[in-house]
Amino acid sequence: MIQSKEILEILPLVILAFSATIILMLEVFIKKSETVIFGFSLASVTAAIVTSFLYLNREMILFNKYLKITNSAVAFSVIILAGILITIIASKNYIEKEKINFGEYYSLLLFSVMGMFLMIYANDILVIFIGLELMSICFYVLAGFLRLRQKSNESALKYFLLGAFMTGFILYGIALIYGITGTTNLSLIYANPKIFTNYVFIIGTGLFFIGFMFKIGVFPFQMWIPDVYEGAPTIVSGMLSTAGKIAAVGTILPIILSLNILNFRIIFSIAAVATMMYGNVIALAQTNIKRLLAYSSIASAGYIFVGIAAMNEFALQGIAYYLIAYTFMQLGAFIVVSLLEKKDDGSREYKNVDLDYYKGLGKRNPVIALFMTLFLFSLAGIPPFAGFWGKYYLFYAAIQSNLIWLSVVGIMLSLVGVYYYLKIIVYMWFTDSDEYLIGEEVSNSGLGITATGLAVLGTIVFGVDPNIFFRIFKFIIV
Amino acid sequence: MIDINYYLITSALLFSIGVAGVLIRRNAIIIFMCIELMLNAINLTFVAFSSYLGNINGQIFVFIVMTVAAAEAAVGLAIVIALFRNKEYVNIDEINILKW
Repeated sequence: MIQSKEILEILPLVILAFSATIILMLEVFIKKSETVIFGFSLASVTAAIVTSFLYLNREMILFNKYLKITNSAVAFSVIILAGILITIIASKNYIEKEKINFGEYYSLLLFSVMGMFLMIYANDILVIFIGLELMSICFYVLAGFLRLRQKSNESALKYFLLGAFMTGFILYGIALIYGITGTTNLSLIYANPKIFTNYVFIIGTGLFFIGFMFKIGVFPFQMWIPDVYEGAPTIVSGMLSTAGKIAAVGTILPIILSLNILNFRIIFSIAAVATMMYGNVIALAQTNIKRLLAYSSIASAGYIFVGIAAMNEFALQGIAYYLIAYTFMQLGAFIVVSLLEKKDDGSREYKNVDLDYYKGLGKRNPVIALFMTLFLFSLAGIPPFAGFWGKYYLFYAAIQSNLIWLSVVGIMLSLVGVYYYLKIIVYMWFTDSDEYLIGEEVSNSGLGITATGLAVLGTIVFGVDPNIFFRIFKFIIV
Repeated sequence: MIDINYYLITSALLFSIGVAGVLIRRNAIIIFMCIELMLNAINLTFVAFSSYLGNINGQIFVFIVMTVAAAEAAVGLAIVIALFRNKEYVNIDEINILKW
């Protein structure tokens, strides 16, 4: 039975759903509604963060066993909300600059977050599917939000066709799982371990995981990532690469840990190695900064899969820690790129996204160059920034599972990554600007700098004392 | 009573035809129709299992899949139209400005 008081146990979801709907109304009924909508969406995300903390250390199964609230789910949802908060703060100036300042933008952001929450809190494959589609459909629209720009259209079309294609595979997997177990409830499926060796069940879960590997961007399903991230509006690329990935990881991680599929560890390990290699090696050859960050996000998906391959109690903590570090540094880097992008002057291209533009940035705009340097150091995994501890916990989890070869390969490949991160830093501080850029007007938007400042704060605070994170989320293994 | 295997083989064949269509065809709208074919093949699987197991969950799942497919169609066709306004064609071989 569903009781009416259960609605109080999922306050963050209710807040997000209501405010996303109300924003659409505000857009219609209030003139000059941009600032109101911005303030309103900021307030509702903050309220969702605060209410999420109410559910720490209270394991609950709600709504006829359709939703399940665990500590790890709360942790993942708070990480997502932190990323979304920074995204919204940074969005305002960017969408004004690109002349796409519509209320629907914020509404779509909040609806996609609601989808992510459904996925993470789900205790039934049906809810996972609904959440996944809610998230993905909002993402397709957001990727094509600059609708007059060919690159944005193209990225939306590629994302849509490939995403819908992979949805088909996820659904076929779900159908096979349903057929062999007779239920879609995850608790009931876990309770019947005899079925785990049935080959139809294995094919079904395999198809299901393939779809999620596509969403995370793991080799060999990563081809869409650079194209979509390059074409989408820069802030949206930052959001896709952080919040979208966290939601997919947060969904499959508890399932993998509960199914206890140690026999398939080798497949996850090989996927992790291939992903890290692909991301880090191809990023070396990039000349477009958005594309470079996209390849760096593929490499990060590889590091996350090192943790998933470990499949032990350290993996959950390591992945959660890496994800929060990754949110701050990756999102921060994308926000810096969006700040430097040139105002839309009717052209149909993104301007100032080439690496050449970053030559001598330290002299032209020292504050932004300093921020970018911190994010790149963190992405490269240099202590004392959060990115270092993220990789440390992931490789530690792998070593605890006797996957020493995987950690060694991972560390070597992340050293390859240091080259292209440091190349940008060298460009910014030790190279002279191209002549036409000297004396160029630099637009420093207050909100953009605030958002970047928050990301820097997160990168440094969690890097200097990683225990803060574990004190906030006292983990129980699912 | 027809054996469940016939339903499953039919739906697997339909699914494969959909996948082949996505991989072979070059028009964005036809690719999208092939994706819809895949989804409908899955619906057939769900209904077959639901009837075989005597369990209503699968049929509810079919309704949800149909709703989601409709939402996806709305968004997908809007994206195709936006692209068509800028480029005047929907052939995916010529949608190639994003590459490395």
